[in-house]
Amino acid sequence: MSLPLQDPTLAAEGFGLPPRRAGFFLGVLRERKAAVIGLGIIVFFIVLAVVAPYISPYSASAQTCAVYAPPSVHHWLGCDDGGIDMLSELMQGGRISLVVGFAATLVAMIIGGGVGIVSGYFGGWIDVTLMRITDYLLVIPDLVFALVIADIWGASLLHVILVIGILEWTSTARVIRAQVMSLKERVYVKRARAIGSGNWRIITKHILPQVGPLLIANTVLTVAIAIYLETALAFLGLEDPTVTTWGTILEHAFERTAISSGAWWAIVPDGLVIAAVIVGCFLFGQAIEDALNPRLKVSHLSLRRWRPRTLAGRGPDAV
Amino acid sequence: MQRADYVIKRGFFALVTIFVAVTLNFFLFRVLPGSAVTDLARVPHASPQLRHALTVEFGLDKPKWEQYLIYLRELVHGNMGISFNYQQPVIHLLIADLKNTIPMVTVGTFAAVVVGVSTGVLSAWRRGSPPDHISTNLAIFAYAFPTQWLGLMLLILFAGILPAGGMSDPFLFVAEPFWQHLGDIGTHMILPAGTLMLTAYGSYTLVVRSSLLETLGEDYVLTARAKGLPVRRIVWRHAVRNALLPMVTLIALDFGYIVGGALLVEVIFSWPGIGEAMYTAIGQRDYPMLQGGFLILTVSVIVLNFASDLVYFRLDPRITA
Amino acid sequence: MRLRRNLLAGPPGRPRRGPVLAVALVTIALTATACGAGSGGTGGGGQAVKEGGVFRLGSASSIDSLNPFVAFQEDAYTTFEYIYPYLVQYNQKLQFVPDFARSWQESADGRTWTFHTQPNAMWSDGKPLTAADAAWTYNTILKFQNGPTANSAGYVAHLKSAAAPNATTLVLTYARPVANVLSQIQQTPILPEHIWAQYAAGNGKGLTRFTNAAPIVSGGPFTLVKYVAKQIALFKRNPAFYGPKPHIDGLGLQFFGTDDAMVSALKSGQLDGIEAVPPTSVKTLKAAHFVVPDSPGLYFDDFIINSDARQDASHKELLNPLLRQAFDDAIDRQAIVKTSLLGFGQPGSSVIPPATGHWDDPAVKPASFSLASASQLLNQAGYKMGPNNVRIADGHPMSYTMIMPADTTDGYGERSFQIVQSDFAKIGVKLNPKNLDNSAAYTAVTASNYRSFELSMWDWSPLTDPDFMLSVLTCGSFNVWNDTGYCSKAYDSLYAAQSAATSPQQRQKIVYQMQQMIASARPYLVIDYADSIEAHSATWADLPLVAGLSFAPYSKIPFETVHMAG
Repeated sequence: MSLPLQDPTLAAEGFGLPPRRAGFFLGVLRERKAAVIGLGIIVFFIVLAVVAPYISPYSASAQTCAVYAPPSVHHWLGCDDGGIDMLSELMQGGRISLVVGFAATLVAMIIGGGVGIVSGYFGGWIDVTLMRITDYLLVIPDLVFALVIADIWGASLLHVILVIGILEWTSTARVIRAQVMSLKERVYVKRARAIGSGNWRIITKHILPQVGPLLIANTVLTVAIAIYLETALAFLGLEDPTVTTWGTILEHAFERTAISSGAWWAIVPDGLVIAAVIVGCFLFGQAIEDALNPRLKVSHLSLRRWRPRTLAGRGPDAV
Repeated sequence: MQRADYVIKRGFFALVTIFVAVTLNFFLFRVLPGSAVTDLARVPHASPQLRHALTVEFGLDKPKWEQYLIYLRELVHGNMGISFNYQQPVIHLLIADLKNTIPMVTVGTFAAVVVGVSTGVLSAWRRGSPPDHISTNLAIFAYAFPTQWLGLMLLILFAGILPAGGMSDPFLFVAEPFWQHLGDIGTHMILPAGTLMLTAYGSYTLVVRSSLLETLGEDYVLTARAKGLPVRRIVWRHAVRNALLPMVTLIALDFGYIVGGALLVEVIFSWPGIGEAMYTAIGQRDYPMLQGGFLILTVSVIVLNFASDLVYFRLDPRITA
Repeated sequence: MRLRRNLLAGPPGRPRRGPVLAVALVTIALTATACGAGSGGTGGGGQAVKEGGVFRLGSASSIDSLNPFVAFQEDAYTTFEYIYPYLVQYNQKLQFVPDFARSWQESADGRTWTFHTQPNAMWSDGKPLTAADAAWTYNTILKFQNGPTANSAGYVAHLKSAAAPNATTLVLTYARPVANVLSQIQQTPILPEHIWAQYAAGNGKGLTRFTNAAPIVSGGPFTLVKYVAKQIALFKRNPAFYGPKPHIDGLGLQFFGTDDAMVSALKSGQLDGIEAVPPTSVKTLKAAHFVVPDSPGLYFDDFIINSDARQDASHKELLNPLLRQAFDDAIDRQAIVKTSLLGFGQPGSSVIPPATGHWDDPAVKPASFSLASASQLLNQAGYKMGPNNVRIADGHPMSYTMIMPADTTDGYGERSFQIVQSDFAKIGVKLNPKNLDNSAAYTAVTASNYRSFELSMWDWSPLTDPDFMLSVLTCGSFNVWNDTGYCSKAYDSLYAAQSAATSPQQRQKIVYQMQQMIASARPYLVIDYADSIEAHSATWADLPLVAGLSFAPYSKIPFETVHMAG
């Protein structure tokens, strides 16, 4: 396939200068076809989500056809249990699913990134405490925990976002921490400390920018998980049922006997778009992580919960 | 001794985590609005005396910290309390549920491992070729499809051919012969376990593939080939075994989560296991059932993590505590 | 996957379904000829029917407990109906007909009821089944009604004592005349004293702890021989039964987690019949040549407006009768019946459904849908349109939180809500859903003594006798079943009057009056009455429906009557 990308951080290191990131992402895209495909898929769905209200053939909430009408010339993907056009529902549902995905990821990134940086940089008892908390949270069974929390707070989009964010920050924290710990030892950081720069300044000026690519890779992969979890929570009835998301579409179909009524169109397209977005995120995020490979001590694959594992394989085939 | 140290350290960590989980369980559920008393007192002509009697009976009138201590004491004695709704010991109910969940989850995971390893080996062996691409992409997609969607797809495809739900069809007055009963359960288990297999195998494929590719690039493999050893022997005797190392951890860790995640599968296929029991218990505010179920699932994950730490430690002497 | 409708803790805590044409509430002494009346026997005219077979029934609900003092689910109550003797039962015309009691009399002052029970009856273990068992059951319920037997306390309201002067006579003595004695009796299973007495010792706590596991010592047409929780309940014909023997050898009840799985199982031949067919499956089942009877149901969906006179000032305008009438007019009942129920239902009007027969006041009619009329009423009330197309009432926007319990959002309820929400938006009222599970929803409704909640959408499964549904709106039902905050002294005294009424005509008059009172006060806006839909394969014949249901806690007749076709 292709040669492992030169890590720009390495190149500059030798001169005691902070490495340059410019062109890193473009480099990734140039080198890896998978990254282009992945990014393409993500962009496609974002654009679709934005223009959905303008190009939906019908309303996504009002009844425009018979209950479980099969696909036809007028309704390409048929209709659901409320007589609502499936294609329109998928388009509009994508908006909210993506919003939930990004919002939840934002929550996870902020918490996880913050914890990771603080923990990795300061070390010592702060590190130990934070990592212990992370460990404890990691062993709690995801879905059951989410069930309980969503029940306490009630079923709504905001709560789903918060729940997913709370479940996902731990793995981000671990990854960022590892990266920060190695960054801490870099020549240019040590020089900055030697000349008396304050911790805050070092973090914002030297550590944070270098953590960037890794954080982005992590973000993209977290979005995939967030969307996945959203569909699971919606399926179990923990999301506001009046809102249309890809998850609630599946849930309605299941509750209102789509299968025994033979209405496969209420189920199949929905899963396909969900998988497409997740695969897109996965390909793109993986590609970035690959590019950062040599420095990576940890790796991720599980779409359900992440745990740092030792790297399996090397180079472009590594996971 | 280093090994003993490691074991003790991990063991201690596991115990502390269990304790934290127990405490978290207890207080988490007390935060839930609504209470079992509200439900159970809603009978016609219910009186304030009844509500009070129920509150006292469930121990809900004592201060939280006292309830907590009582709970801990009982737990140490193996008593998980009485289910508010079934009025039976929680531990009996949960064990019965686990007896249904564990076989299904085990079969599903085992199938996932088998399929994952074989496709991973195939992909690595034929790296870069069409079968590799197909297999890898299939793995990624299978992984990306929501579990519940895969379950629904299987239902659509096999409606009428395989049972749509339940664990067996026991409309028999006389207990059927053991093997027939097993066959009945087996037929019912195909779809739920199949869903689990589809949803889990993807990660194994990718991990085995990468791991194998890395191993195949090692010097000792090159040496062995130079010496003239048959390729197959090299692959199986050395490469695959080394490649399986990360698999071990992955399987052990995943198993813990699969038990919790099997919830979706149990719901779709009406499989009467612990996931479904937990879900029902939440709506009913059956605190003892919830605490018990949550505890069992969390402890199983912790124990499996600990076991995987030990196994990994054993298999890879490069790891130090 | 959501909580099933029949699950614990909704107002339909023990959903019962079935219309009541209770013409015979009067003190009729049905004589010995009652033995044959309405109980099936041979299939019409004495010709022999095919005997044997096991009827496999599917349920999307479950049995939560086999202990009558613990159970809440309807399937559990139906199990009790088929395995235990009850003094009376309903027939297809919803008249009270004999079960364990062959005849009965009410005393002139209405305080004493005498029942003559079956002689020479036996429990399935060979022990004698006599009126003493009945007396013991009633007295035990009375004794512990504030504790272990609280869920049955309603059956023995105003009962002073039960006595069995001999093996076939039971005397129930009441403190005052009670109008619905037979309806309460019909719901009380008679338990075998020789099995249960040991648990009633001391404070009676043992009564709720007893699992009553299968095989159960039974006195009904079937014995419960096998029960695996959440999977199967297997009933076998009881040769020792005192009444007409079922034609089938046995009955199996299989539990499913979802409607879809259940319908698929019926279609694939795994089951012979299913309870509670969802409207979306009717078409496909009829196309597959299943028998799909659909009858008016004892069930309604409702829109609740906080009716507490002391509710928070921030939404006190909800008490305005003009507002309530406007809301009533703004609910498009036809559209809801068409979309949510797929036509299997009727627009709602009174809280006593028409399916109850003559208990429903025909003068109470559904409101006609008219957004124009609704707007005009709100204008009349002085609530002018404000910014964002939301009206202003008493200085604040008419934007209300609507509590949506899982009972409602599980299934078609949210479709109904969407229709209502968009129509209300057109008249300038904003509805904001708040989804909670049933327990939390009830807590939210009753919070601050009913003062803080605004609106809700829920449902009820009234019993065949109107007493229970009417009691829900009494002041005394606060924090028990009352989910509206409605409390009126006038209503309460009418309730007391109907429960002590001595003649059915008099009672009916009072019940009609109460319905009109509620219809004008509008604590509930009854949206629709959903039909009761069942399905079974054509290989079985003669499965009668009592109150629209075959497997229900109203009668043993359906499964005594059913037999293989041909």
